[in-house]
Amino acid sequence: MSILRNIRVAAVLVAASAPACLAEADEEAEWTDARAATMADGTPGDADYGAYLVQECTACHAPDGAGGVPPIAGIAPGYFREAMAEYASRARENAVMENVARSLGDEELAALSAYFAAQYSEDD
Amino acid sequence: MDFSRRETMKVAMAAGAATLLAPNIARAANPKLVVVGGGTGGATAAKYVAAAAQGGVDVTLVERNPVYMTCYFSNLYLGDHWDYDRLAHNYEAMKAVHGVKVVHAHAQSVGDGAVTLSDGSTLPYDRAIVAPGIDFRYDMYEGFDEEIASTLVPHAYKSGSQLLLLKQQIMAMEDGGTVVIAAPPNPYRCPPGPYERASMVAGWLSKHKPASKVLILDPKTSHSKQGLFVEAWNRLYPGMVEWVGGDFTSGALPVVDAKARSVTTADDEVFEADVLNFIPAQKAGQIAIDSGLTGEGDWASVDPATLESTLVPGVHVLGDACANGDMPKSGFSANSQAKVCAQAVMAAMTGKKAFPPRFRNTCWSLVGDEYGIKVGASYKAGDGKIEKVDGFVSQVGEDDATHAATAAEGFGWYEAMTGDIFG
Repeated sequence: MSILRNIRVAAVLVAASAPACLAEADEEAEWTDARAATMADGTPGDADYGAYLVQECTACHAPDGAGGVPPIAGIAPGYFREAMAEYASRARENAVMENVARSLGDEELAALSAYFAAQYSEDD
Repeated sequence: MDFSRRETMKVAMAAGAATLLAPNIARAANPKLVVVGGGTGGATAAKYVAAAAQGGVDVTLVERNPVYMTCYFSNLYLGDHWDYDRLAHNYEAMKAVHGVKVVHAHAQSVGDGAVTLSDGSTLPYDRAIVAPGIDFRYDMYEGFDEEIASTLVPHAYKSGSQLLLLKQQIMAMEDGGTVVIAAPPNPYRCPPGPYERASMVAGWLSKHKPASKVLILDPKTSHSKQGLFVEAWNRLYPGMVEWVGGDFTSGALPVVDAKARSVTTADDEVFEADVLNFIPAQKAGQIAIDSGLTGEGDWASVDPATLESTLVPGVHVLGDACANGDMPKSGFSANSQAKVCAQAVMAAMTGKKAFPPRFRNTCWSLVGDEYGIKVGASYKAGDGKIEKVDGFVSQVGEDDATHAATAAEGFGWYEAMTGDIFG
């Protein structure tokens, strides 16, 4: 998981350091960790709200990935945002996650990202 | 009012003493939450309040049994897809990690600020959460009661000893026999449960007693995930599973003959079984009824945003025992409702901010080896009830890879869910 996360972070850093490319970047490259935790209007995500929302995730996602559903504790916020966008658009197919993604608005996604960001920085 | 100098001094000294004793006073003044029922809903609520309060709320969980056997996945035990011991979960982490006081006792009633136990002692509360699960409407049947269910005709709908009895009866049945599963009328715990059970029993019989049959007698005219179950039965167990719906049972199965192992419909048609699994109509757990939480009905009426009783203030009811609007009665639903309830209770007792309630459910059903189907939805607190927002369901005609992935997802959910509650 941490390897996957680092690869994703590296990809985002590369995109962020190349503004010319970023202008044409796809949805995936747009989600830096910092931007993920912010709403479209610039308001920071509410990590406390994220802490409430993540309780919905823990019904299926064990902290250590027990049972085989991937762990999400400490997930990189940018990666989380792009994954949610992919589930909502069916670029990734999973009916449960599509339903979850569609139930989360910008405020909820920023809140969860802010919550994950706090965990993420503590981990690293 | 004018304070004299002496009175002012007394006030100042009292304030000083209070400051010195603050830690003890704060502990003594902790609000008290008593949770009745250590199943999926109650245990989730106890854990989540304790975790959020960080010692600021005294949480007591009253549960009769030292070990909880999940009802979900009990069908998988019948199909040899899950060990009986793996249905069992204890309260050690609840006590040691989360600081919940667990009292193994039988709670009889709740109200007026106290839970009364069967020995007459009381547990005072500022807020109570009641999550007693289901009990059965034996009064609707002739020839069927708890004694018969425990010895001859198991309902096996609360996991535990009756589940073992049902499996023993199936294993002892002659090849060529008929297992009759009598499904309950709506609403009841785990809507796909009887049909997942039929699938698991058929799967076991197809390997060990292939000339046998599974007959589902249903007072309903349709059931959960019906097209998906029928597709699976036709494909995996051709000719083995038959469903007889409400149009043919006259909508009711009022008479059980435990010795003859037969069921009689409202139109006096008799169905005989070699193994009879009779799942009766259901109601809220008895303590909810005895405490006036259900009014004139069978289920507790609650505010959908907080799960607080509309009849008894300060008492919340969640899980199978509440009238849960559009949500099905399921372990997933109870866990979801418990989290909404936990933040409502925290807000009421400590002033902690509560966010807009959100609910979710998914029911995975295993119908064969690496063959799973699922249904789920998101919900919100609506006008007087929990309302569905958006849902999904497996599709008829899915390929093997999808069935296998869905089955694996269900197994993963069980591990995560039970860890979320008891870990």
